[in-house]
Amino acid sequence: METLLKDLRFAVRGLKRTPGFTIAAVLALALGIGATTAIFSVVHAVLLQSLGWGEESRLISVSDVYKGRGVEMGGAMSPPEVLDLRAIPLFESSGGFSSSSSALIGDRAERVKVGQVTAGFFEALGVHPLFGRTWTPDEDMKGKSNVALTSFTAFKRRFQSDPAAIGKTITLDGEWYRIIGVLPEGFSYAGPHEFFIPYSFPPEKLADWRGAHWLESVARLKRGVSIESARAALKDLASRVREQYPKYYAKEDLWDLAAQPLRDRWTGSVKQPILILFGAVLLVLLIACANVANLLLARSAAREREFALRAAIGASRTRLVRQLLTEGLAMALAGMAIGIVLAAWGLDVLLAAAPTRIRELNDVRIDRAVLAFSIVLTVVTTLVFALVPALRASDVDVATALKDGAHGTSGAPAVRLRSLLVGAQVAISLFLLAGAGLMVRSFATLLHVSPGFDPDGVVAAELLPAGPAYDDKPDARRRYFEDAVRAVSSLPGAKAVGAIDRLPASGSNYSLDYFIEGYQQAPGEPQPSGQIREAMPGYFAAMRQPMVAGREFTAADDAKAPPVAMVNEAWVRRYFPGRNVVGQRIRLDSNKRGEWRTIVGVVSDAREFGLDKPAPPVYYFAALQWPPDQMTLVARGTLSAADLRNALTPIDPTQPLDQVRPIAEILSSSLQQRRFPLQLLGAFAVLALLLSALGIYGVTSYAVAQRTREIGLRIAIGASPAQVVRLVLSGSLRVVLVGLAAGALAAVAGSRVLASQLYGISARDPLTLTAVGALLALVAVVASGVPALRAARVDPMAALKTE
Amino acid sequence: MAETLIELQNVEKVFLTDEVETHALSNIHLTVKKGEWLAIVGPSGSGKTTLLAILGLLDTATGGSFMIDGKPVRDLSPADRAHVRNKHIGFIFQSFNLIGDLTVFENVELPLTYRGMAPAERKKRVEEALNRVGMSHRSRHMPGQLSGGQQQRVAVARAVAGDPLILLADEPTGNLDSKNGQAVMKLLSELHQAGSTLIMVTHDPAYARLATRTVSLFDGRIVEETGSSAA
Repeated sequence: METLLKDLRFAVRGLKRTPGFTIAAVLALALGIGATTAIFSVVHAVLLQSLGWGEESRLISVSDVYKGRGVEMGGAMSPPEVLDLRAIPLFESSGGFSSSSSALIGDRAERVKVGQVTAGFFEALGVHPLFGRTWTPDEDMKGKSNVALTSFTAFKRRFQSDPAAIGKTITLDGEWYRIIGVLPEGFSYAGPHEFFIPYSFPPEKLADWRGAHWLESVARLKRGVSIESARAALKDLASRVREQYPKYYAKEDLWDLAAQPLRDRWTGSVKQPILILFGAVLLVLLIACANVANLLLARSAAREREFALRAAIGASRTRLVRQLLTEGLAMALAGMAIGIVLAAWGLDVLLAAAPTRIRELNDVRIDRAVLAFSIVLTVVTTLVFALVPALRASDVDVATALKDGAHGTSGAPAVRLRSLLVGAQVAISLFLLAGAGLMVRSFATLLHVSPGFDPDGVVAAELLPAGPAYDDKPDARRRYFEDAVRAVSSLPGAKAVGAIDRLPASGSNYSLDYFIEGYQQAPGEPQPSGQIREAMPGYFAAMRQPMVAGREFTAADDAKAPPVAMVNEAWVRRYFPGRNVVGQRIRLDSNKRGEWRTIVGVVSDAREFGLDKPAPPVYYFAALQWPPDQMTLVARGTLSAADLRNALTPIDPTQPLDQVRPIAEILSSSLQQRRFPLQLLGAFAVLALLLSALGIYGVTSYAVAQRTREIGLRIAIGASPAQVVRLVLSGSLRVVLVGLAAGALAAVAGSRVLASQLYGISARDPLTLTAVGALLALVAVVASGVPALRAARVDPMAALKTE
Repeated sequence: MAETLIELQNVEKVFLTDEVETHALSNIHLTVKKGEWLAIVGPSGSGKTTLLAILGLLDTATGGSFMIDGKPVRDLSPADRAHVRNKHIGFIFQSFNLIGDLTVFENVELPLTYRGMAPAERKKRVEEALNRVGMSHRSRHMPGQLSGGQQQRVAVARAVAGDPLILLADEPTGNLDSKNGQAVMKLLSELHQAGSTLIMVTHDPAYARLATRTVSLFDGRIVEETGSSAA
């Protein structure tokens, strides 16, 4: 240990004496280690760390799956299906969950996120209240109990962490709830929720809800039960349910129940982008290592005499290697310290750009585990960048090196090694640049996709009337929505105002089966089904979603008027291509809304599922005829979010507004999942490019310094500056060209990795590869051009005197 | 009769460059007794430094036998050679070869550190060695702050601190002015008188005369020996 400390002390002293070298090496390592640490903190929080639930290996997510519509679809379960799971003996516990927002009435009305869960949900997750209790199956039923659990955050903020909160009441959407428990710190499910309440299923309606799917379901397997056994048990259950309720499970739907590990359910969509980014950042670190290794090789050439002396007075090769590795470790530790500061600082920026799912899954931070990773990474990094230079430097010809007048030369093998490192840097840079280039082109293609409406100048506000004044009172809801549209329409600056229950690209979708008058299903073709939306008059005008045929909904299309509907062009293409469908009738396959509705208009397509997905067939109801539970008001004009809030709040001050923001922002959020890897990969590629440029510059400069006498001689015997520049450039660019070729091959070979992240572009797009190759070549010319120009200015007399 | 410390029998050193053989040393027979001061002289290119490198285990002979203290050392592994150098050989170079990043004390301490000696013992030995060369007052200085003569005295201290069997000096006054050169030679004389075995390469006949024996090299061969091998 004493020797190690001594070596470290010498190392630090030596590094201080060569500040230029030290700053360059430590900075490269800090950037590499810092970026890797930041990305690892995401990997750790999302893919490795416990998500706050007990014994995750026994947790599964259960979902509906339909395989009979040509494509496999599925997801949310209905309340009776969730309750059916209690009959599976392999499950220790199971429960359902859905997320909503409610008006919390206190000193003022405030909208808060509320989780609605069935009994058994917390038990399945293995989460026990810090104080109090959860609820019983009996308390799930309406009228049995109005109880609530509070999150730890709400417990701290709203009840000042006072355990006497248990027993207190809160009012959500006009209904009171008694707090019966406090959930533990750090617990979250599908993002933060302030309160959790039971479903309060009306027992008399429960059976009818078999066809209404909105619950996430979780189950905890008994010890020793495999997920395969659970899948088999779910298959049996599904088979029994299909037989028992044929009305809800049409044979052609091929309905079934599926299970997957709960972590996969939540991390599945972000896992691949995160792993791609982790791979990319490790490549950046590798480039940084190659850079530092190159610097060390140059430095060890200058220190050849010192190593020879150390060997002469008795240092074995192992001892010299250890000394050099310690020096490397000193640099890497400095790089780590700066890197962790950079990572901590950059993590907020990174998370701000990250998809919401990443932020909601876990608290991403630099904790002890991430620090431990950084330390291991630093040690491994040291070995990667310092071992080869150390082995080379310690292999010194002592007798020659100690001869008076001898001075360090790295020799042909070291020059080859340095060239190899630069070639590898160029190859990795091209690989990363190609990835980033493809994503940029893919994103640019996506940005040119029209959403089907004009988002500029439109502000949206979510309207969620809830509580005794609105629940099961469609007229009250209709009035609220009409008042809202009227209030905003009367604002100066409002050009067009409307509302819809689900905005395109908002991530909220709803589909139902329906019958189409005059449509003949082909044999084996499933019943028509598709996206349903409910729109108010003025919506399509406000969105500038052009009418193709017929008319838009009007104020006359109210509850007293004959039921009307609209469809989009995709619907027409799907069911009646090339025909005029105005006047055609549609009927929902539902007890409540089963009357025939006449199509009064056809509207152009909007990208309902996001810009990267084709527009689906959509069937629009007139919201005034059957007001939905919630709507999003849209207003075109010169209005701000504050204008909308000021106009809407007085309509019912007990109904706080949620999500008042420009539509462009919503559209932008829908691209977050694609923008995140693009931004980071782009940043990594730029970093790789800079490091490679530094590497090329360093090696070319070193080569010029080594050949100063030769260059002086060439100039003395008549070489022109251009010839000298050509001489230097040709040596440097040969290595770059080999690196470019290797990088291009690697990019083509690795293209499959990125394919799923691209839109409208091939993962082997030749234009992108050519463009990034040209960019890298240009950077290489500049990086080696500077020392080449310096070489051309060598004073032949001075150079020839250097010996 | 003093015991034999170094014995070279028919040692040769051949360099191969592009299939051309260069005989740097041929047919070297040399015996050095304990406590002897041997000077190796000869013109440039005669093989003096090569012979010294072989004697110091910095280079290997391509033929012949080489014993130190009765043990064959020609075919030792690199690690064993490092060990022998560290324990039994002290070097004094023409250009001092102090490590610029280390203080005077640390430079002298370095071979003892490599030997794995305990810190207290190291400290004692370094202080003794620096005292011996009159440089203890400069122990915290960096080499760059010393004159050439002072640096060479520190190099001598480093060479003797480990109490080696043999001291090898390669043109120890080559980079010094005459005053400092004489001071260093006086130091070497004192070491010899105290019992050290010294082998010194020099081109200066005046300094060679201070040795108890002189061997002259020419074209890689010993052409003349003067003086007595008795210590």
